[in-house]
Amino acid sequence: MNTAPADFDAMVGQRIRVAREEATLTQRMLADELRFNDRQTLAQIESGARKVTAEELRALVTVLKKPFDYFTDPYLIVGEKLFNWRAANAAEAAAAENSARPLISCYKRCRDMLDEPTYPFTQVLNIAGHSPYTAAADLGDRVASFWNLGATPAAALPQIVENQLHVLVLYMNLAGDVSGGACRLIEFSTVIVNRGHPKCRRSFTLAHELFHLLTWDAMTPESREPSEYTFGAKASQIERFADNFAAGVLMPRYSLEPRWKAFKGGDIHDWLNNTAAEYEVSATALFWRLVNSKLMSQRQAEKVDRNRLGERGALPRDEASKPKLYSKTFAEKLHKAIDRGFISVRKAAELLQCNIEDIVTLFESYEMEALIDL
Amino acid sequence: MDPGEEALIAYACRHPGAWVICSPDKAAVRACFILGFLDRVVALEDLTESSGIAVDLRSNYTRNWLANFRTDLLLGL
Repeated sequence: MNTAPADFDAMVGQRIRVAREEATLTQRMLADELRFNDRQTLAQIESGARKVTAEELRALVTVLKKPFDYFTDPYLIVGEKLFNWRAANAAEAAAAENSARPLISCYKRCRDMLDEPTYPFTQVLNIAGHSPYTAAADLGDRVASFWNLGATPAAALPQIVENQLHVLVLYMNLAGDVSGGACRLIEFSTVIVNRGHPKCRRSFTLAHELFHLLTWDAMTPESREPSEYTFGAKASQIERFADNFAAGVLMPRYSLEPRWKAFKGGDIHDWLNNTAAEYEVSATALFWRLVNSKLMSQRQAEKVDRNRLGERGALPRDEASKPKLYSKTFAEKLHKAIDRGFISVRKAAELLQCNIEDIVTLFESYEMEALIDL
Repeated sequence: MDPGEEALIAYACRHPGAWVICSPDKAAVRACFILGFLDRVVALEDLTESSGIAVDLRSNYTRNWLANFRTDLLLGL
């Protein structure tokens, strides 16, 4: 799909419908406001079957109280319940979303313009809302096994998520206590991870948000949840499912059980901290995984002083120790779209909220031709 | 394109007089192609030479760069 007129009309029509529904207007009510002879005229506009005129668009701006480019800018993502954020507060979640939206819309637009084959399916996890939390962990176990993620799944997970599920994984610089989030569009899904966080948080965020994407319709997450789950604290049912799933994926039983059984003595806290580092999870997450999977007995668990467990892991020392910005998939798509003239460098810089030199740096970090001669 | 590029091309394509346009950006050149005036896109290198000005230009401003992309557009690439 590129900028064919029919696609543009369909996009405008869809935007009108979304804005109308946000304003809680029926088609009849809006048609009356616009002084249409009948409701069918509006229905045809919303379906893209009829082009909206300039005068009608002016009226829609006034009636629906949206700016003109809300209806016409192909780089906007519109719609409700598209995002879920793991953030300490609503303001930080909103700031993160303001950064992520143009990035995701840029990727979407590049995909559309390049008109390459795209994955047409949406994957779903088979779990019911009434299942016990252990079912989510077992599912995570099976996912790790099915995908052959190996003894330490965290390392392989991002690439597998992109290649097998065609979910875009974006590593972003997010301010405040924002672990990351997920965005579910009809066309594709995205996981956003804060690249400034320690490995253990990054891996857990990826696995946790993956659960949300794979269960979005059946268990729609809230738009914001706490930035990290302190195990044992009160959390919603959906978040506890997501955390159990993440624990199962990152610490699958086939890997964890033999390691636990091989622990014959020594300081349990050292073992938990060191093993957690290998799994790229927090020691607390590892502790609860052992308890919930019944590998660690109640008696053993009571001997663990949780204050001696490393919670957060080490922050990345410098730029080089963080994951590369965004992802190779994102960079490649953007690179191709600029090289073929489907998006200008300045427009890309505007969407990525950076300058042209940063675009060059992004491409060079992925060993791609700079495209711009600075 | 960014708003500046859009505005320039919108102005140019409504301008009644004879004009040529330069851009080092492929998206702007593609827009000119779609709008039907690819032949009015010239490389800055050509303009500076015809003006007798010797300037060291970055690759995106050269006639080779423009010629290569113009060929891609005409071939539907």
